[in-house]
Amino acid sequence: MRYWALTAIVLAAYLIQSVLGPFLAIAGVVPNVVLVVAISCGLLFGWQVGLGVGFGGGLLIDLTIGQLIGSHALAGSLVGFVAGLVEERVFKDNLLLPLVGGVVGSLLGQTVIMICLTMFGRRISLAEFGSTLLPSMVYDTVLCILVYWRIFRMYGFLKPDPRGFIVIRRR
Amino acid sequence: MRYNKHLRFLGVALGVLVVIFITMALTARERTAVTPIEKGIATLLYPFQVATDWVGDQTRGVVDSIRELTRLREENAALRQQVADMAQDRALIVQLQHENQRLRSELGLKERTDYPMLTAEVISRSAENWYQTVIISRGSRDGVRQGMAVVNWQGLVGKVAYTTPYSSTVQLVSDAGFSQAGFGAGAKLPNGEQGVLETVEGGYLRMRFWSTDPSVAVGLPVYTSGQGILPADLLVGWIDEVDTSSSFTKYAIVRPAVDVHKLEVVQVVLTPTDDDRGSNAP
Repeated sequence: MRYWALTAIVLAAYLIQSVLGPFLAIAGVVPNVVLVVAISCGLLFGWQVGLGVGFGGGLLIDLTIGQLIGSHALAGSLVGFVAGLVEERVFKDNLLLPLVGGVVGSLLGQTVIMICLTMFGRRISLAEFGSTLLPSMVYDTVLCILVYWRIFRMYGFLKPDPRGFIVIRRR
Repeated sequence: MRYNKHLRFLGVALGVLVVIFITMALTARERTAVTPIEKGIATLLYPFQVATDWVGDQTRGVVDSIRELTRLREENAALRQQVADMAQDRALIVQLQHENQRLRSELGLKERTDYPMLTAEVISRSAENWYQTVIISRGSRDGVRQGMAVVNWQGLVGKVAYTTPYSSTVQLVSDAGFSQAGFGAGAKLPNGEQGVLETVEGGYLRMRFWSTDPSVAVGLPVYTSGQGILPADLLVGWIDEVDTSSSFTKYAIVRPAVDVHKLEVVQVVLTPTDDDRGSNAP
């Protein structure tokens, strides 16, 4: 596993979300690029990678926001972990995978963040939650399909097959 | 072995979870200071944010300009339409003003003339170049008869050449045949000099004086004398030129008072014609 490349992807996702996020907002909804990368990495490389990417990216977001530090890290790591649990049971080239992953991951991530906010004194009505969650889910799902396919095409580079490498060298 | 591995992972996860919750609890309320890590991240992000903000501002400027251009284009089209509508309204107002002025003049003509008059609209003009005629909207059913004089507020327009039940054709004073076909219109000047009118080229009339030494000057008005088929005292035109080259007869060129190219409404002078006189005769 090329962790440096993975780290670069996480950093790029973090920069896109924190810097370009406000410009990419549609109807006030900012894309959760880090969360989407965590879902994609979990689905492609397993729960350890998903958990790590989600935690690292989420923590960076938390540190940028400066409030309730840990909420995004918790949501990201949980989503990456759950996505990684199905990694061995699915076909990675199935289009439904990022589609379902985007919907479930966004729902789970937003719910975790909302629970954290509610636990620590922020009052959020169900109407407010719904009005934010639904467009956010749509945006994240579309983004997840794009990001998943981008990372899927880099799969061989990010996780080279050691056997293939040896065979090629011997020939 | 595997059990221990899972147990260790669970322990680490729980530990991290506890740390996360503590951090969240500590950072949930308002803070007076941020940690060095946050400061470092904010410092690292700053150039990216500035650059992105600049690019965003530029992009927004371009997008705003395009939107503004589109808005201005639409506004321009709407204003053009408005200007066109206003121009149309203005043209209508001018037209109504002219019409009003003309009708007032026609009314003035009726008031200062003793003859009964019938108002008629010019509905058409001669369809070819050799005849100077117009068609008016009154015919024999309205009492219009051949030979009746047609005038407007400016002066003599012509005479009725022939009639149909609903319209009449008027031979204009500028027509070459105006003074022919038994017209022989008598004319007079304000000083009493009399003569007869003939049509010459260019839409002008020639007044041939009875007197061999008439008192005539350029600019004098010429009226009908009542001799012939036209009633007296209708303004025909003004003396434009006096020809005294011949020692026997004197002539004057008369410029018609009426602009025959701008006829819209005319008055038919309802004088009894020869036919009427004949029919009424015992």
